[in-house]
This record gives sequence, C-alpha cells and structure tokens, in this order.
Amino acid sequence: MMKPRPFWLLAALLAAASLSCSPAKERTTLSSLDELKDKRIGVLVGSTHDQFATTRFPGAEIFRLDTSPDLAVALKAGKCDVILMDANTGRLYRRDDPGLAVLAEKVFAEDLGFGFADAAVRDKFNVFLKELGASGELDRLRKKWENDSGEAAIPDPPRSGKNGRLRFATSADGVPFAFIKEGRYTGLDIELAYRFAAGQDMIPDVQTLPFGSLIAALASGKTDVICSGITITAERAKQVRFSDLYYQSAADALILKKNAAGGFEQTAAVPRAGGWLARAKESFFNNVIREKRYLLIWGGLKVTFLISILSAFLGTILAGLVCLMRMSRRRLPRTVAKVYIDLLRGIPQVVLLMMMFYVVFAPLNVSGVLVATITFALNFAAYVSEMFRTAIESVKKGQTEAGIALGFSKIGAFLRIVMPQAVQRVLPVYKGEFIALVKMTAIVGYIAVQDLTKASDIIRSRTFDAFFPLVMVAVLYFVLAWLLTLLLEAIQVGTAPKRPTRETPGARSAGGTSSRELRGGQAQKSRGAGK
Amino acid sequence: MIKVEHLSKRFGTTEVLKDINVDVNDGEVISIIGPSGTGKSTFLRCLNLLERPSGGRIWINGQDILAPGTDAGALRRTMGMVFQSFNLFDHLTALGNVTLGPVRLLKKSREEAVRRGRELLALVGLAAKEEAFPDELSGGQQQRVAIARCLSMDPQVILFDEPTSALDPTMVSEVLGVIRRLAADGMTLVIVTHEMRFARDVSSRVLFMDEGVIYEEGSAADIFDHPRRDKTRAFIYRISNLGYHLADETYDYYDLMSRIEAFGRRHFFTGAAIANVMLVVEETLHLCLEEGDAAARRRTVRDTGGLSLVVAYSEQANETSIIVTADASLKTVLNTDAESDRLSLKIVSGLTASVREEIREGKAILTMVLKAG
Repeated sequence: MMKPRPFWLLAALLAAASLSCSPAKERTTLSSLDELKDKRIGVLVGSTHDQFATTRFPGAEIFRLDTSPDLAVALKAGKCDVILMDANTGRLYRRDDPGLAVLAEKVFAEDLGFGFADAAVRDKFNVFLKELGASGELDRLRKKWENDSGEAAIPDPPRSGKNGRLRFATSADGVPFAFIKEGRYTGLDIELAYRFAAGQDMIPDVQTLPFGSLIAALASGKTDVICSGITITAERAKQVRFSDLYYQSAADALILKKNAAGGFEQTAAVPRAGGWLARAKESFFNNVIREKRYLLIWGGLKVTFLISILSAFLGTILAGLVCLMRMSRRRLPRTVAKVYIDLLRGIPQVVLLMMMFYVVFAPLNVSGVLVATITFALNFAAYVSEMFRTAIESVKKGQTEAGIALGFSKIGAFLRIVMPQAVQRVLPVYKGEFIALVKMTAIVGYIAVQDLTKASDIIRSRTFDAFFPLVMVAVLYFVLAWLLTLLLEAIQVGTAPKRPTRETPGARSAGGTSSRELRGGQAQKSRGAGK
Repeated sequence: MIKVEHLSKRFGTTEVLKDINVDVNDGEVISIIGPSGTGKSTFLRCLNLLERPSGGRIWINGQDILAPGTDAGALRRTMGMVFQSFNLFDHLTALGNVTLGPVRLLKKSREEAVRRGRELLALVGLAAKEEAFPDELSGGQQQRVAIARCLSMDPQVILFDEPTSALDPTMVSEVLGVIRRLAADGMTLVIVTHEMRFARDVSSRVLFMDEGVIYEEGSAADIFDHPRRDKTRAFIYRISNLGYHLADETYDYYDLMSRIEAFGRRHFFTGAAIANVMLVVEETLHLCLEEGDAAARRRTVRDTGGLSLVVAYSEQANETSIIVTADASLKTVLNTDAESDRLSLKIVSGLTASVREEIREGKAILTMVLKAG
C-alpha cells in the first residue's frame, strides 16, 4: 500500500530547492578592514577570528557559526556582510565560487599547530615535524594541499599498529586542512596525522566535532590530538599542548565581489544556465553524485536508523523497568522512578547528550553512537514509562482479579490479560514518541557522530549549497519516519482483537431477548451441565 | 468440603471479619445475606485467598490452605468466582473468555477448550454470541459469560459475589435463572446476594452476617419465616429505611418530601402509595407540633434534641411503616386531645392499618403501619 503522497512532496520540494536563494537587497561596499566596525561579521565559534572581531570591532554584529562552509553560505545568503576565515580556506572558496572576493588588507597572521593532551606525544610529533621539514617533504605536502586540494589524494591510513590507537578530532570543514571527500577524511592535517600515526606504529582514529568543541574534547579526554587548522594562541596554550607550527597562514576577510568598493565585473558571477530542471539536476549532481556524496548520505541514514532503533529498543525495556518501579507498592522504588522521570523530562536532550559525552562517559573510550543510543534510550524511557503506566492503569483492575481468581499467577494475569490490552492502548502514543525520537537523533552531530543531519552539514561544507542538502535530508527524515510508522501500524493491526468488520446483527441487543436465550440454554440441558 | 474456623480479617485498624465459623458440604447452596459493609464479600474473597485472612483456619477438602507453601493458583482453579462487575477480559470474545483458562492453565488442547467453551456458552444461553466482545454484550449477558468462564475450569465450588447488584433490574432474572440451573444440577455454590426471594428459593442454607460475624444461620425457611434474633428480623422485614432528623418545627418540609418521594421510587411504590406516605408524615408532624399546647410541645421538642423520623419498607412483607421517636417527656408524639384537628386525625387513621404509641428506654415511640396499597 505505497501511497504516492511522499513522492509528490519530494518532487515539489526539489523544484523549490532548485530556485536559488535571493541575494541581499541592501548594498554594502567595503574596501578596508576599518569599515567592518559596524558591519555584520561572520566567524567560526571559538576561533581566533571570533576573538579578533569581538575585541577589535565592539560595535559590529558578530554571527557565530559552527563550520566554515556555513559562513560562506551565510555570506552568500546576505546574512552577514563579511566573514573571517583562514586565508587558504578562503582562497579555495574563492576559486570555487567567483562571486566571492577578499579584502586586500590581511586581517592577521596565524601560526597553525596540532593540539595534544599528552606532552610526550606532542614531543614525538615535533620530532616528526622536524624530520619532515628537514627532508623537504613538509613543503611538498603544503604545496600539494594548497594548490589542488580538490584533486589531491589522501594516502590510506595505517590499518594496523602495535601500539594501539591514536584518537584525532577535527571539525573536518576546512579546506585544505581537514575535510571530507568521497566519504573519507582528507586534507593536509589528516595526511600529517596518518603519517605520524604510522611512524608511531599506531592506528589513527579520526572523529568529527564542531570546531568550538575541539578543545573541550581534548581537555575532557575524549580525544588525544586535535587538528583542524588550529591557530596557536597563548590563551589556548593554557589548555592545549601545542606542537610547533606546521603551517604559516593568515586570516582573510571575505566579502561578496559585488559589494567590494570600486565594483568588480559582475560577469564573474555567472547566473546558472538552463531551466529549473537543469538546475535541479545540477544541484542533485553536486550534492549527491560528485565525490560519491551518496556514501555520506547512506552512511548517515544508517547511523540515524541504528541509533533510533537501538535506543527505542533499549528505551522500551528500560521504560518497562521504570514503569514497574513507578507502580511498585514500596516507597523507595516509586520515588526513584519518579525522580528519574521528572529529571530526564526536565533536561534538554542536547544538554543531556553533551553531559553524557563530555562528563559521564568522558573517562571511558566509548563510541559516540553508543553514548547517543544510551542517552536517547534514557530519555525515551522517561516518557514511555509514563505512557505504559497510564495504559496499564486504564485496564480495569477487576480483570486482573478475575484472572487471578481463575488460577493465573500475578505475572500470568499481567501477561495474558493486562498486557494485550495495554499494548493496544499505548501504541498510538508510543508511535508518536518514536517518531519524535527519530527526529531527535538529529542532534548527535554535537558529539561527533555522523548521522543524516551531520552528513548534510558535511555536504553543505563542500558545495556551499544550503538549500538542496537540507531539503533532501528533511525529505529523508520524513520518509524514514513514515516507513517506521507503517511498521508500527502493522504491529498495531497485528495485536488488535479480531473484530468482525461488519456489525453483527443484534450484537448490542438489550436484555429483552434474554428470556428466549435462557430457554434456548435450557433446551441444551441434556448435553450436560457444569459438572 | 469447606471448613472455616475462627476466621478474622482486618484492614489496618478496621476489623471487618471477627470470628467466622462455617462448614460448607458438597452440593450445598449457601446464601450469605446481611447489611452492606458487614464483610460478606471479604469473607468470600478470603476463601480463595484473594484476601489474606488475618487469623483463623480454612480447610478445603481437608487441606489447610493457610499453611505455608499452599499453591494458591491450584486452589483457585478448583474454586470459581463470579464478580459483581463481571470482569470479563475486554480483549477477548465470549469464546476467548471461556477458553483462556482451560488452554493456559489446564493445558487443554485448543480444540477441546473450544468445544467445551461452546457447550458452556450454550448452557448459559449465549451460543449465538461466541464471537461478541464484552462491550457488545448487555450486563446480563456479560455476567452469564462470566459464569461460563468459571465453569470452564470445572470448579468444585463457585463463589458468587453479589452477581446481580450491578445489573439493570430487567437483566437480573436471566442471571438468576442460570444460577438456579447450576443449583438444580447439584453444584456447590456460595452466594452473597441482596436478592431475598432468590436466596429463599435456591438456598439449602442461609447465613445472616452482621458486624463481622455470622449472626444467625439456618434453613431458608428458618431465616426468612422465623428469624430468631433481633437484627435478623429487622433486616428481613425492614429491609430498607429512610431516616430523617428534625431539630424543631422549622424543618425543611420540601427536602423531607423529596426524600420520601425518592425513597418510594427506589422501591417501586405506586404514585398513590408515595402520596399516602407523604400525607401521613405531614399530618403526623402537624399533630405533633401544631396542635394542643403547641408552644410548650415545640419547646420540649427543641430542648430534647428534636424528632427522629424513619420510613421503613419491608420488601418481604411488602409493608411500609412510619416510626417517629421523641424524648419521653413529650409523652405522646401525636397530640390527639379534643382540641386537635379532626381532619388530620381522620387522615392518619384512614391511611394506616395500625397506630401504636409506647414509651421505651426514655423515648416516646410512635409506630404506624400503612395500609397495603
């Protein structure tokens, strides 16, 4: 019973997606850095640019975003007038998008380094850098990534190592340092990380975190090394053991070319050719096919599906236990369950998720998927246990008693009599909560899990197309939720009492017919009575 | 087959059952009657351990069921119970209700359970309703399915806990018919009921319970025709009454009359019978408070705590009486001296079969029995 509805919607949304977003209406011209003082400035959360803009331009409006590509998208959409970012990243952006320009005035110089938790590892890395520099290999690598980051190939990471694993964290959004291409981590930092790990006979484990969370992750022991084109500053050095600099860079201010003072040739920003269909095709190709981005989407979909199903499963079992405690005759378990439910329902899921990742599970090396699954299971259980309770309490108590009087044990009466009715009653609300859970998993990107939403973030970070990846992911969530609803509906139908579809004539007959029936009963007497 | 000795049960500080001693033999039909809240249902629920007794002993077929290690499930399988509120399993059809126990507990094959279930539904007259869910059945039909569900376990005894109390009056007879049928077939039954005529017809023995003890027991004829003890007699004859207290002559006349009317309707009085009760009460109070030395009488009534009025109806005797009690210092409730309103006196004497005034235990008591309507 496939309804065509979602596919029509998909088509309509794709059509909408292909109409590109309109540029800012207000025209702002810029030529020097000082003009930024009352402008809208986009920066990366927790970056040196953020600090610079805040202190240098107190009158400016600062937009703090999580990834560099988000900055580019914000600039193009007219959300801000100027964005600050690493000169290399900016240069590559400009190469890909002729609509962007750079202020001639350099903002400031940046020394990039790797961050370490352990000084001994840091020292080894410095030795590694020195050797690489001495052989001229470091220069070759820098050039390779600077010039042609889109085409440069990343070597395979070492798959085995005698000395265990080395965990790297990156925001994976900054070309040419660390980014994702064809579903793989790539970039200068990543190649350095792989080479270093290989030299140490260790297996590199790379995970993605928002730029602003990198230092916190290092401090809380979630990772051993952070590498994401990080600028070495005195303030950061208090929390991070920085390596020597491996790359000398600078910060640039990017603006839209048409806003540059003096005016650039407008012809550079070529309007995309073709009708909407052609543009939709191009968007599709860019966001899905190019660099095998469908792998990212497929991987994200799997993670979202896995976390949803596992946490619903675990959460349901936990909900049963909490419900049992909540309905206990003894005070202690009842109070514990009540506190649990109130507490979990009162904490935002994002906060809970981050607490679990950075505080509770900080000392343990567990995967983000596991932490996410546990967190959502805990949260799911708090809500669902109350649903269970109301469903169980809605089954008339007399039925349990009748079951016990018939000879069932308490558990037997619950399983055979209360459960089937409670399940039937709880399913409609449970379904809603489950869908809510699927959508809630979109926040796992906060703890370095690459789910569907994160996949779209990564794609956006490469294509600078805000609309298509978001709409595509919205549609995918919708379809996923819809399919899972169908599944639960099938269960609901399966557990429903088999009622005849037609109303049996006289099914609700009043007592008036009873005397006839009683006589009918007596006519059967010869067949033998109750004993 | 059931022997109960010194059974007691308390809920918190309330002692519901005090000292119950009773024997039930095979094939007996025992009715338990008595005022509400005297522990009849609790006693029944103690027998199959739905309530754990606080003291005493119970033997079923010679087995002490309060001994540790008793398999309560196995015990309950031999004792069916029919509840006031039917308690059918809402998610199962009538047939499902009567086959669940045999299949799950007696481990019968489904075919056998279904065959037997159909037989039992036919026995209670519901062969045509086997596919119906409880919410598609009337109360009487549900209770008959509940009885069939009990029978499906082949019990040795069935306990009925007010099986018709939750039913519409029109459905009572269909359920009682089925129970009569079981009694006639020689099934051992213990029935808590308020259906006096039914109890009288069907019981081999009647237990009258009051205040947590078996106050009187005997054959149906003994209890219903010659009750020996006061409370039994009061219960049998004046099965229900309406009490009303008047502090002085400023009582709420309309409230009193509406209560009398509601009371009459509840017991299916005719309109004329209700009007008669109201008239007699009104004239009696008039004669008491408005005639003769009215001012002095009113003062006496007010100072001695007022009047208490009881309208009592005996279903058994189909007899309505009105009892007015005042302090003995009033001497008579009705003021019948020469000055009194002749018309009021005429009405009272015309509508009553007997009028009796007496002074007892410091009270002046007027008892009037109304003529049968």
